[in-house]
Amino acid sequence: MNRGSHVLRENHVILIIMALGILLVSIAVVFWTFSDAQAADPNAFNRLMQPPSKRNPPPSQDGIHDPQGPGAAALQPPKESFSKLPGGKSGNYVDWVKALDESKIQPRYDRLDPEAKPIVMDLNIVREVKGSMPDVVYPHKQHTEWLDCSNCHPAIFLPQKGANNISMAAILLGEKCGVCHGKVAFPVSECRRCHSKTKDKTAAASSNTRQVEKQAK
Amino acid sequence: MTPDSFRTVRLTTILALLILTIGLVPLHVARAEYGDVVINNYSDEAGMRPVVFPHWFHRIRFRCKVCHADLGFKFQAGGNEIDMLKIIDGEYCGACHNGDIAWSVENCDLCHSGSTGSATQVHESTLQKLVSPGGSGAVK
Amino acid sequence: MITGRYKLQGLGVAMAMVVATVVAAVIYAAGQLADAQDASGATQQALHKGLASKLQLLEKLLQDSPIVKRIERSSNSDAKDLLEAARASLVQAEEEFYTGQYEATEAAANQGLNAVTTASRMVVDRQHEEESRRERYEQLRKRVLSFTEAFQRVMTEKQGEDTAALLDRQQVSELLLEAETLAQEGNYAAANRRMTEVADTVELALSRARHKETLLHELIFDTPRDEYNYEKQRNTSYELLVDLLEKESNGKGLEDVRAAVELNRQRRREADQLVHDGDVVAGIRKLEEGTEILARALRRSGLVF
Repeated sequence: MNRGSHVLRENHVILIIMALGILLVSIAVVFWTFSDAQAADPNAFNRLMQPPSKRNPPPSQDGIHDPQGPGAAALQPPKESFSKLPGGKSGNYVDWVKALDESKIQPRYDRLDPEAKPIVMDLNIVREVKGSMPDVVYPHKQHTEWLDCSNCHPAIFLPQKGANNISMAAILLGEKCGVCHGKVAFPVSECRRCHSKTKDKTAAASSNTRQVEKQAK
Repeated sequence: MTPDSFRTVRLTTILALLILTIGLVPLHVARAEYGDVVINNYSDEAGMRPVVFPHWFHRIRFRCKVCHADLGFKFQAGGNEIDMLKIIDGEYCGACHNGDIAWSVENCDLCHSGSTGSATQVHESTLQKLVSPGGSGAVK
Repeated sequence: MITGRYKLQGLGVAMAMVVATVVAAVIYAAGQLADAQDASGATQQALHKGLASKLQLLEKLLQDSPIVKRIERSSNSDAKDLLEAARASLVQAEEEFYTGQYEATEAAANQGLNAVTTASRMVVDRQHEEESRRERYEQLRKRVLSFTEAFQRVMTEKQGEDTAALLDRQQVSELLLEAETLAQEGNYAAANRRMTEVADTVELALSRARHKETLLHELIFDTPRDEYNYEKQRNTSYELLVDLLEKESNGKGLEDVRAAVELNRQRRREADQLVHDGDVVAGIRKLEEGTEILARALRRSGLVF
């Protein structure tokens, strides 16, 4: 019996070592998998959504730069730069307009002169849309702080009421607003940023273009 | 514990360990920075990696107008006929990357940092992400 | 004491687990250090290739590039000296490259590139400059035209003295005339300066005229026919999205969308017929229906908008 009990104890010890071994290896592998992969959990709440920690990956992991090239290691990781800037909900996950307004960035308006000031135009265009979506408000102010008039007029948009036929499909295909939005400026996934004026059900139009209001700042 | 069940446990453990250590390959889903433009007009022929132009880095330092109105860059990936000779001659990128405003052309790898053979594209643009993973089966 | 058989087997399993853990740790560590390992291992090769490309570029530059031809044709002795220095650097770099002194090669090649860059700035490319000035003049002209028209429309709309006062029409037409004359003489530099001044003046006037205003672009059309054309164009843009979907999804699972395309085409035909028969409003409604069907089908098939 003595022999038997010793046998049992040894087997227990071995089982414990096995369990520990499995635990160690599982931890190592799970850690390894999680450190590189998106949600390994098949039942994750937002399985296909990129979690915030995976946004703005460094050049060696972003799928575009060659991780073996010397460039990828030398380039600044975007997260480092964005840590100082106000966050956004899409695109770069940076609110560039806010960053400019709060002077977190001071981009030059002229290649050589850091003090040059932009000619800002403060004019809103409200475009009525078909269907139930709120009307689109296009603010010149935020755009002219970055762009020159000639960037859009007359090549992309004619500065004339009724002269521009813009549909959501056109924007998605990269025309009109889609020349920048969806490529460099924030993508069109945030509907309300543009479709921001709820339709006024009682509005009766008497002329084609009219001044609706002078905004008081 | 019986010798047989012990053997089963042992075999199962070894199998489990093998699977855990070797079977799982880390899933590397990578996304580039939004707005990065890969330019591969002449890089392949020259045996260089394609150029990756980071919009985010430049918009912190310059407004859109400077490059797209003053320097003549068109709003089109690959739509500007840029080559090394023009850059060294001070056109396009060379207007700033000349050693005065920004570093000069000798830093080949800082621009030519893309994965070899990548096509000219605006990374993560709407056109690329238009079809959702769950829809018709096309995963981006 | 443990019985021999169990002991050996037990120890064997324990050792196997230890080995397995160590193996896992090594694979993990190797994965983590992949970049560094690759960097050090493939560095020499990458460096060789990188330098070879750089030297190739410098060679091409110095042999028969337009830059070099321009410098040699010019009378700028400083630029020519720099060119000679660049050529010397290239020779030196090539020697050092073939003897494996990569750092020295890099330094010499960089020196050569910098010399050419500096030299090219000393000698301006007159022909290219003329061309780009002419292009810019054309662009400015179009811009000035479209904005002057826009200002005209604003003036008509507002019918006020103060609006007209925002823009000195006299000055603008004088400047325009000057610019055109200069352009005809071929002095595009001066012409562009005038034109830019005009453009800035008109744009400033426009932004002052419309300061802090909100313009409502209603969906009101001059004639029903206008609205019909608008709807037709909108419908077509959705059809273009279908092409994109076909391309991106390799044609899988698109029966729904294809059926919708057919329905849309049918609606378009019916709409055209209605318009032909005189009922434009009904035609517009038909087109809207078609767009709706198509848009819904696109969304169902995974097009995200």
